[in-house]
Order: sequence, then structure tokens, then C-alpha cells
Amino acid sequence: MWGLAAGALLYLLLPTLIIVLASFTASDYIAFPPEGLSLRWFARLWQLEEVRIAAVRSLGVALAATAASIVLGVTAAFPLVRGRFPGREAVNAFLMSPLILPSLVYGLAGLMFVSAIGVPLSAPILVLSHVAVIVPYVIRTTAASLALLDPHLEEAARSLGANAWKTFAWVVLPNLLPGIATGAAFAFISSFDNLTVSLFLADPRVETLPIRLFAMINFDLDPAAAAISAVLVVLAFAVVLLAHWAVGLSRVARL
Amino acid sequence: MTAAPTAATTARADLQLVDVTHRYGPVTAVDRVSLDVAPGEFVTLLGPSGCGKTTLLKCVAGFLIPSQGQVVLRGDVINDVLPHRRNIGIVFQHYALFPHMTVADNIAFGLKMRKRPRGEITRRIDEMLRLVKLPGSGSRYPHQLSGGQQQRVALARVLAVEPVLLLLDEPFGALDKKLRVQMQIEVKELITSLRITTIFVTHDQEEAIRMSDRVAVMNAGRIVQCDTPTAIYDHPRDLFVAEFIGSSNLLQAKVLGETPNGLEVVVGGLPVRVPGPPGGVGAGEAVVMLRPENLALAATAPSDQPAWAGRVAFALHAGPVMEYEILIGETWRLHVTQPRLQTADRRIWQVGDRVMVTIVDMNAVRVFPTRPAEASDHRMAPCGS
Repeated sequence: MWGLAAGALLYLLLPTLIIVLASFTASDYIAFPPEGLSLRWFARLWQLEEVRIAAVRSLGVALAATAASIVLGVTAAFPLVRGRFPGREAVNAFLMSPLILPSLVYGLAGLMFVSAIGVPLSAPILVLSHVAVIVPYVIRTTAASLALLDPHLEEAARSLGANAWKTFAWVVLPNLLPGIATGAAFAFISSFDNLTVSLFLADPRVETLPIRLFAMINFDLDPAAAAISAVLVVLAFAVVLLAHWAVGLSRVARL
Repeated sequence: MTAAPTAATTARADLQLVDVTHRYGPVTAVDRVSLDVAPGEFVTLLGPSGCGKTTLLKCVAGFLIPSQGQVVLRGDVINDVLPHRRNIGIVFQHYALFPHMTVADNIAFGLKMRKRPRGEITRRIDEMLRLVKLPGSGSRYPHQLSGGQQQRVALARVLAVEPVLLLLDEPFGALDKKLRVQMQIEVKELITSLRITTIFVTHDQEEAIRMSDRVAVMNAGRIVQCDTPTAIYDHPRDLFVAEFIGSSNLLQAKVLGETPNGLEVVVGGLPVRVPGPPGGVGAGEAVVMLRPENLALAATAPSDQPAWAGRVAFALHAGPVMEYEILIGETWRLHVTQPRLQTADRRIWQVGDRVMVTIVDMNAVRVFPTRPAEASDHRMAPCGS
């Protein structure tokens, strides 16, 4: 049993490990095992202006999309958990669809929709399209927290003199925070890493980091691409660990 | 504060329910319930699950708005008053303590909502913790407390705001039996000493009888009988109450006729005269209620009163009492409880012993008209819990 588990873990981690190790190569092309160790590609990253701009842009898009997803996702979770209306399950399934549909399909559909309604591609459009892809994470984790929340807590707060808004702010929201934060962390990472949707919906002048990375790998095997990947991996881990540390991911993972 | 003209005000009542009705779509959960609760009174809503007691409680608390009728608190109709403006405290079965707040913050919650000064809040927290015998526990979190302690904090939180009315929604349901009895006594003492008007919801008839000034027995959305525990136990108004409160032998019987001294009834082949006011039950089929503790066992029949001859079918040691099942003839079974202490004229019976069963107090025997549809269910006593 333990052997199988260790094997599975290795299988999951090995590709990531290889790219991270490859980023430390001293050679002029991506190589594994790395030929000599150096940080020259990380240093070079900083010199590549288009990488820097793309990174900042991706960060901006991810932050904006995550913020919008939190507002939308938390709001949507309430009727989905508490509401009693016909077709609730169908709505639930529909809201999860971006997680299920191939995102390539979603990207193409998004592009066709945007051109059909005649809106030019722009940064806000890119953010909105990311929101549609990542909001299910926030809905899912918030809904899970909400379903576990004892409805009597709200009745207790009301009877103690808190109006509906104060009950939400003082009692409901604090108890949903772990769920919201976890969903937001996943949402942030999937926006920051998103390539397929951005390929279709990013204005050619609005290049995100994954698009830049894709281009670099396409044209030549620049070890800087491996360095970007390493940075992305570290960032993803950092965000999840931060969420874990802040709210106790284990509490949410049990849901 | 003006009394609403529409409310038939008895100035003394703290809470009045006037024909309160609540419907969930086509289902009537609470059906024209009227009830007056005097200041400082402890009234219990007792009934099986689904009888409407929790719905009624929510109408009082303001979480549900009655479809019809009025909820009157100290003379004001409060049907449309939002829950947070009612100043009614609730203790829930699972306490509903705020898990992200310390005990002190839980207790302070209502006071903060009322914007009380910080110094007063701190004083009040200490005072409440002492009141519920948990001094120094302010910095702990609810999940660090036992069930009984959480219960106390829930009480402290509610009492801190000095509510005009206290609602207890099955507050002992989650406690084990021993702790439950202990908390019942503590809570009752606390509420009595603070003279808070209280409505208590439970499905546990023992708990209701133990704690209440008055018990309102509910069935199918209506209050069937509302009276003191003694009256409810000794004079159940109908078969439902008789079955629900305590345990009873409900025996099918035949009323022969009425005399000035009471009813002539044949039950289990034995003619007995049940004293009481005339009227109510006519001649014909009827159901006789005999409490198990109102039956006595003896080896020989007394000469001065009627007795059933039977055989002990079952004997059970139940702590302070012995519980017997006595078989009379082929089909009649009587549930009898006797104190286990043995005195000269009382002994412990064994299965198979031949015994004579007599009624101790004829005045405690009740006769009810037969319920048409369910009459056959009662031939085989005992019923009840």
C-alpha cells in the first residue's frame, strides 16, 4: 500500500520536479539532467522585458478575476445551498460546467460570443472570461462551508439583536472564510496559469505570462521558459500554502 | 406602549397567542392556537414531532410570520416585528454558539448589538459566567467545552441581554440522561430565581412534567390540553393526552349506565364503579385508563373491592420500581408498577405467580369515549411509553 502511494506521489511530482531542476541548467538550451548548475536563466528572466510585463499583467488579471469571483461565487452559493426552487440541481450543474468542459472549447465559445455581440477584445473581456472559468471553485468551496453552517447560528444572532446584515457580517461570513479563501486560492492559480482561454480571448497586445511562456517554448527551447515554469510552480505552492496556513485548508479539504 | 385594540388583552399576560395559525403551503402546521402566559410563568409546549410546537415557537421568535392570528408580547402585537427587535432569547438544542468566537465574545454578542459601553459588557460577562457556574472560562472556545458547559454558555449569552421572554427549544435533547436531569434542575432554578417568562419546547413528557408550571399538550397543530402537570397527568382530557403523558393501561370497556355516584363500567370482565361527575361518556363502548402505579397486587382477593385474577407474565427490575405484566385470562394484559421496597404486605412477584389485581384509587380511573377508528388498538393494553 505504502509503495503504491509513494509511486503515485512520485508520478504526480516528477514532471514538475524535472522542469524545476532543468531551470537551473547552465547550458543554452533546456536539458535534463541540467548540464551544470546556475541561476543565469532566472537572472535573464528579469532582463526580458516582455516576460516582466506579461507577469505583471497576469497578476493583475488573476487578482481582478479572483476578486470578482469571490463576490459572484459567495453570492451564488446562498441560493444554491439554501434556495428551494425547481431546477436547482440543473443550475448547480451548469455553474460547474466550466470545470467539466474542455477549456479549449470554452475559449473558442467565448471568442465567438464576444465577436458575435461585437465587443472588441480587451483586458476587461479577458478578466471576465477568466471569471467564468474560475468562479466554480469559489462557488463549490463556499457552498460546502455554507451547507455545514448550522442555520440556528443565524437565528441565534437575530434573536440576540443583530439585523440581517450584521448577522451576515459577524456570524455567517467569518464561518465561511475558510471555504471562500480556499476557493479563492484555487481560482487565483487557475486564472494565473490559464493558457487556453487566454489564447482565444486575449487581445494580441495583452499578452499574459502563460501565453508568453507558450510562445517561448514554441520558438526555441529557451531555458528561461523552464525558469518561468519554476517560478509558476513555486507561486502556486505558495498560494495554496498561504491559504492553508491562514484558514486551515485541512478544515475545508474534509468537506 | 399601547395595547393593540384588536388583542383581547388580559393585562397580566406577558405573552398572548390569539388564534395563531401557520400554514406551509397546503399543510397547516399550527392551527388556531391560543395561549396566555403570565409573567414569570414556565409553560411547556409538549407534543410528538410534527405536532407544530417548533413552528409555533418560530412564530413567537419572529422567524416565521403567522398566516393568521396574533402574537402579543406585553400588550403589543408583534406579528410584523423583526426577530432582532423583539428582545426574545432562544436556547437551541445544539446551543448554536458562535464557533469562531470565545465564550466571552459569545456572551458579549447581544450586548455589542445593543451598543452597550465596553466596561458594562466586561462586567456583565463576568456576572453571567458566575451565574452559570463557569467563572474564568471567558477565553475558551465553544469546541473546547463539554455539552453541559456549552449549554450553560448558551444560557449566559441569552440571559446577558435580559430578554422579556425566554424560549427553550429542546435544550436538553443533546445531553446524556444523567447530565440532562442535572441541567433540568439547574436551569429551572436559574429561571425561577430570575423570574423570566419562559416557553419550553420538548417532546419528552417526563421533562415537561418535571419543569413546568403549565404544560400545553399539542397534537396535529392544536393545543389539546393546557394545564398544570398534575392536572395533565391525573385528568387527561382525551385519549391522546392519556397515552402521551406517563404510561397507561388503556382498556376497552363497556359502560352499563350512570348512577349518582359515577359510572358503572365493565372492564376486563370485572364490574367497577368509577366515581366522578356525570356526563361525558354515554352507555356503550368506552376506554378505561388505569395508571400502572394505581394497580396493586395481592395473593388473595380482598373482600371489599373487585379484583382481577391473573398470572405474572413478565417481571422487570426497573430501579426504584418493579414493572410487571399481568395476564388476565387469555387476552388482557395489565401493566403494573410497584415500589421495590419490601414491606410486610408487599412482596416481589415472580413470573408465573398467581396474583389478584386491584385498583388502588378509583378516583384516579378515567373513562373516555372510544375513538371510532382506532378502538381495536386498545384492547391489548398496555399502551403508552
